[in-house]
Amino acid sequence: MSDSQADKAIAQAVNTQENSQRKRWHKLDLTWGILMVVTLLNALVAETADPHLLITFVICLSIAYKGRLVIDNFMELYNANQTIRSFMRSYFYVFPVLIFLADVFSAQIAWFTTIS
Amino acid sequence: MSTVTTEVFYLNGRGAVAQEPESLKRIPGNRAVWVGIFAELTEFAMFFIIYFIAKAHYPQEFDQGPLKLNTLAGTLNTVALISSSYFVAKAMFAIRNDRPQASARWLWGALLAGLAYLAIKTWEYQWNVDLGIHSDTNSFYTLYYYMTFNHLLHVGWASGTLLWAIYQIKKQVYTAENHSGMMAIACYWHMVDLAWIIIFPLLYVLR
Repeated sequence: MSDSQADKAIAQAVNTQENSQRKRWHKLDLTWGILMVVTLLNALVAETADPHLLITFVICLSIAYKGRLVIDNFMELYNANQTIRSFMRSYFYVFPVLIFLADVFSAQIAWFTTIS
Repeated sequence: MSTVTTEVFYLNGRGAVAQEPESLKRIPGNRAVWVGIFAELTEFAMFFIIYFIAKAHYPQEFDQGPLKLNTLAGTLNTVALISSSYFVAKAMFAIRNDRPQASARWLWGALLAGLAYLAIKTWEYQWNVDLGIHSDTNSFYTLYYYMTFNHLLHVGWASGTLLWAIYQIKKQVYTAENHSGMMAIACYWHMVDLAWIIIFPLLYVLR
């Protein structure tokens, strides 16, 4: 490799690094912004909406989405160890689904958990 | 002939960094903190399951309960915790880029947000007492106090770990080359935020 090629390669490596860092700033800032908006929408729902299965569904979606954002971007599990990432992500798939199902099948849950 | 060598990753804070993330295919922080994180999440999972069962048995209490709670306090607490998580992520970014002062400042921000959470929660409990809401008022409020107070304790001791991380940065123990302990603290803090992401809609939003 000639000296000029080496210089180019180094410049490219530095550029890539700087771009990656800049993107990371944007990603963290954007993640925070989205989480804020979703939280405020949740609060609006709490203050205005009447109980409905559709509302429960939307809230469950928002829980799953917020959890995924924190896990991938703040906790940095997006590229991390697969087992840990899978467990953490699945927590935020399983519980939103359980919240929804608990609403739909509340009578059955009450029957199943009654000690006669 | 000259050769180009670039160092690629910090592997969990050990080595030299050129690219993010440091935790590529690795366990962020250390194994021990993840045992703790999964244990804590299991504990919160038990609370959530008890909530489902109690709600099925006492639907009216769980329908009326959230209406009396202070939604503003719950929302402000969510804002405080999400912001603190963001500050911690920024602190990690700064320490990797060899900016320990900036990293410590972000951690102070996270700590202040944690303290704001504790202050808001105290105000909220006082508000509840003024309205005659106690832990034995009904099943909903029993669960409400059990979950939120337990979570408050987690925020309390996790705030202590943030203070420890700031101290370690000042002592130059956590540096651009070595910050796996700080990453472990950051992961624990994010876990506390994650638990609240489920608790907030369960207690304040859903009826």
